[in-house]
Amino acid sequence: MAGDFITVEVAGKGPVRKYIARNKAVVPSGSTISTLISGLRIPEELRVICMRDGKRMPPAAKLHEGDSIIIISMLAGG
Amino acid sequence: MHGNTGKIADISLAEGTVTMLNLPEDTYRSFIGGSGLGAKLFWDRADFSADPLSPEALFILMNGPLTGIRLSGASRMSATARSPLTGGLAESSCGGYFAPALRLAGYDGLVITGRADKPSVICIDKDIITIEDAASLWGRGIEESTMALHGTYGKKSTSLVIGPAGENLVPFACILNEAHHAFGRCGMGAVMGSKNLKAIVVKEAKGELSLADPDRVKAMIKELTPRIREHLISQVLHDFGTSGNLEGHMYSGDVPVKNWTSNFNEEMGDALTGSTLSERFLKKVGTCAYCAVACKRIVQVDEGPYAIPEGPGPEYETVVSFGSLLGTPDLAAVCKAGRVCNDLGMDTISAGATIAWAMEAYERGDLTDERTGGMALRWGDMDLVANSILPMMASRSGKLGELLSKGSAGAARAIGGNTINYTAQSKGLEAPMHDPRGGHGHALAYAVSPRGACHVQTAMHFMETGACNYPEIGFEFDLEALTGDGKPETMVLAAAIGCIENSACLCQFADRSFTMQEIAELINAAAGYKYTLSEMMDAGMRGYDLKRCINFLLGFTAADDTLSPRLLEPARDGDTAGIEIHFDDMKKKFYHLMELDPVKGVPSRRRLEAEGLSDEAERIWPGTS
Repeated sequence: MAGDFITVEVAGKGPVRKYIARNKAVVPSGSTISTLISGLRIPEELRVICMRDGKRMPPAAKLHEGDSIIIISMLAGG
Repeated sequence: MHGNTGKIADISLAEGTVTMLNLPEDTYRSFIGGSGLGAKLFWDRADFSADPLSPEALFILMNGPLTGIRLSGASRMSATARSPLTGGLAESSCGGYFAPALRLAGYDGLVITGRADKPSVICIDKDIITIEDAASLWGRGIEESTMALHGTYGKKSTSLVIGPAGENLVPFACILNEAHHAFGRCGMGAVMGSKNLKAIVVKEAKGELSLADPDRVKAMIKELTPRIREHLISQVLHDFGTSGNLEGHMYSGDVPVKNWTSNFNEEMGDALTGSTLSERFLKKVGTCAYCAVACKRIVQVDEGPYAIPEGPGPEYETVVSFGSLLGTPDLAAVCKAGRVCNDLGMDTISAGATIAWAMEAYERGDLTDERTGGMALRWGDMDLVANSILPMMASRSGKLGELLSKGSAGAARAIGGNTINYTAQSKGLEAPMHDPRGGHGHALAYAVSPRGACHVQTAMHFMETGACNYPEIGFEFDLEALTGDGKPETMVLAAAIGCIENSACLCQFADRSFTMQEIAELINAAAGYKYTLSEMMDAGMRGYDLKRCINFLLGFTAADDTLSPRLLEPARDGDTAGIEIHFDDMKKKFYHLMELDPVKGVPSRRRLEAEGLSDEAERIWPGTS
């Protein structure tokens, strides 16, 4: 059923862009940030944080239809 | 002696003499090499009352026990002096090609004193060290001087060179190897300039190293090299350079904007990040000796007002110092400003940060037209920065050039008022381009770093951003960036690890996938120190504590382990807006864990004696027991 899934916009910033092939993701309703990340197959050693509305979200935060999520690479800089 | 050669050339420029300094092997083992051994030599030899730019001042270059073993990341060396910028202990690290060349020529380091009576070059040709005339190079830029030195001493020679800024004693002047690899911080270029020393050259060197266990060294290099190459950080560094994650860090509050008034600007993040640099201007990648990563950028800007020919490109620190910190997303302008600054021989961090402070001071009306000589300092005016301000700073010309050549803290003190509050520094050293408001451990690390605000003298930057994990020494937890939780405890380990890395002279990008046990094994195989892991950690901590003792004798106390107010203001925008850094709590706990005296800022007598620093303890704590 359509209601069992939600669509969220996803953008990557930094090297994580390489692992985000599309800018929309369809995930089961009730999914969390953590669910989204695991579905993107980002390498374990690439730490990321996710932001919604300019604020970082905990891994357990629930996603909502139409959310715009920015995934940020956390790599030591120069 | 293995790994090390046991020979340190002691060069008096005033006398024109060279003697050999042979330290006991146990001294090497106690301080590892590099920055630790440099600090020990400084402690033993320095006149603590000497002005940093006087003939009596020491200038020390030291290799580490791994230098020359052909391992990726083991081509760095350390410089030690008293900083003309801060007045405290100066320490700076440089990659490139000079360190292995010096080792293969037969030397662990150089101790340089005195002042030559005319511009000079020290030329090292195996056993023969000569002091030669450099009058024809004086006043010339670093690129031109480097090329001229290749012409004189051969294409396979390699040199450390200062630019006009070093000659003019700008206190944040730097030294460059092959016009691309910098002893950037603390004003080492001015120290060389004060000695009338334009360059140090090693002619082609082909010596063999004596290693404690050559087979083990070879096996470890074979094992570690692919791991370095395949590590995720290495791949990002190779593809996009050290600014490869600038746009990511912009969101996490790590990247300062407009003199640290902000730490979020999406447009600048996208425009300045490493992938943009690669797409627009990258011609090829560059490396240090034996490197498997190749993080250096060779760039060319084809057209426009900031056109530059193919040559060294900007590192992350330079991109931010001349980019978002000055309020510009113009990456071509950043490349030009970085090239100009390097050629003049100034630290891009201190230069950019000082200009950013001046732009804010001008906007506020604290820096008037009378003081700028009528120049209007506007955010993002890169034409003014690249073509006027940087050359004026290097030559200390005009009112503005003279003012800004003092560095941000010096300039703020000169114009007074509350302008010091919006400098971004600790102990007078401008902060690197990682905003503590995006990672609170950085605030503690900057404050307690002996050389001043620094993200590479300790390992906090890498530990807080999750770039490494060391279960073998009790660090196997993820840190929450926006709190002080766990930061003092991490800082204790970070202080020792940073000192080990800078004493072993390892690249902090290449060695991120090494365990601490592996670093100990590498040192043992090369130099035969026979360290246990615990003994190596103790040696790192010994070095850190010694540097604190040196700073105390140079006039620093616990009160100097702080940050300028701007760096502790809650961020105004972005993800980190409004979050307070609980700095005092972190510092208090770190002091407790390290047995640091709350007034003097030095370790207790008990701790120093337990580290084998009894003579140091007596000098710091005379007449006590």
